[in-house]
Amino acid sequence: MSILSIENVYSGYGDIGVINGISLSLDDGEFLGIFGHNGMGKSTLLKTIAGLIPVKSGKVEFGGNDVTRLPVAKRASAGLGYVPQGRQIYPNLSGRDNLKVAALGARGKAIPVERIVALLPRLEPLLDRLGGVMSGGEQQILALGRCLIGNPKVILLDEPTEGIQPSIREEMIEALKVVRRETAISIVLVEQNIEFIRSLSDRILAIQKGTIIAELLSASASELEALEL
Amino acid sequence: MDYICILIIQVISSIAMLVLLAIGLAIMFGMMKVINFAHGEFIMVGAYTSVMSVNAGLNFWLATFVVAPLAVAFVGFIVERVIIRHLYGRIIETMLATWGLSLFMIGTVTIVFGNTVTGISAPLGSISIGRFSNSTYDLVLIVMAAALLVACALFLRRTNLGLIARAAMQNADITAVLGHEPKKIYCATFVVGAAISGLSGALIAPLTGVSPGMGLAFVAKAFITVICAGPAVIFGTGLVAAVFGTVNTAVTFVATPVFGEVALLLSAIILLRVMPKGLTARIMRKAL
Repeated sequence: MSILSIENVYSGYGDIGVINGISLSLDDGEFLGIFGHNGMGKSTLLKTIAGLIPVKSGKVEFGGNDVTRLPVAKRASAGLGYVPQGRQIYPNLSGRDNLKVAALGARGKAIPVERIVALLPRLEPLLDRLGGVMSGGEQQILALGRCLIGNPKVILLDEPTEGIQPSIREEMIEALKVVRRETAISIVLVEQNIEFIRSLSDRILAIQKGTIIAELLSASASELEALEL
Repeated sequence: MDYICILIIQVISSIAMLVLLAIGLAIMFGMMKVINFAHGEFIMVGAYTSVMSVNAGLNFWLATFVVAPLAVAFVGFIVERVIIRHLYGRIIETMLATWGLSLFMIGTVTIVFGNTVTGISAPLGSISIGRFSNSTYDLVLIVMAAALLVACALFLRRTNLGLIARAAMQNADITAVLGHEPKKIYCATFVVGAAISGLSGALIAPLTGVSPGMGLAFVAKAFITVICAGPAVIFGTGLVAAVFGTVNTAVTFVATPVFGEVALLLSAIILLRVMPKGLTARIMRKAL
């Protein structure tokens, strides 16, 4: 049963087309990886699904409803979570306030902070620090927590390893495995780090110049390197 | 001794005046980066509302604290819906549109009330300090300016709505992704800024005289104060008003009011030359 699907979607910035007719569907509880190099349209794809970039043509369905023209905030309220590239933590708010903004946005269905901290213990020391002074890895954990607190059905995860040291990368993998184990959330991960994407994904799509050029099971992810992307 | 007392009261009144002129704009420009050239006219409408209400027999304090802010909040709501909403992030267009709005508001008020100066007298009489006396109403302005600064800071720091407003100012897209409608937040912020401008207009009406073009005299000072304030909009506005108010009054005392104004503008130029991003970009960066 598919929770999120997009059909022949075109989008981009102004007149410049970046996504050229992508269709994909995400099953309930699935972890879908999307692999591609810089400038291939990975982030644009996620922004389009989140609603930050308008769809030029095609259709986005979430939870069985057509959300193609729905504003960003309404999609979020419906349970579509998004962790942006570069984390985009509020620099002048504390970790706790970063989480609180998300909890207020989720209104009744927000998860208590304690439960998020129990799920991601690394959050604990970050609560009282300003977002702007955290390291990239700390911000990434906080960004994940900030998304989880809204109790999403799907998380769109944009390059969580970007600008993060390898040791924290391992930690991110563990954190995401915990999220998978403890929640029923489906995840779309966009990455250019092969190791990261194959240790988490059930299925991997390769994206090039705004189209999907291959679909692989995680086990055969080594073929990605052979794909001359 | 009494001379010094009066001088100090004059300095603080001058600071309070700058705060009142600038704080509504500080909220609109400082937080939303909306350049509202009609800011002076928002103040003017607040002043007219107060004068009209008092002339119609309403209590001065009720007119100032309730009627004027509500009237200008309503004007702000309409302006946001009709003009500002469609121009977020487009600075030049916003400037042009609000400049046109400013002319429109001046013209409309001139047609309705005529191009004459009206006014109301300041309530509360005066207090005598030694050989001198000072209007008691000056003290009301001082208290109100301080109260507005504190109230704005507390609102932003302590309330959920204030937190969401700060979040939206830092990153509107992410705030939308977290389930908040940026349009609603911006609209509310603009309306609050307008209401405070209306309150300011009503408060200064007894001192300045009320005419359709009165706003033109204020808008430059308001912008200078807010731009020099820098990123910490509320605290910065208070701090910059303190600097400029002191300079203005001090020079006025030793020379003339004209030199006082010149000194104010000169200190603004120097401040922006040394700190192009405003006073609070360098100091007190954690303030609001």
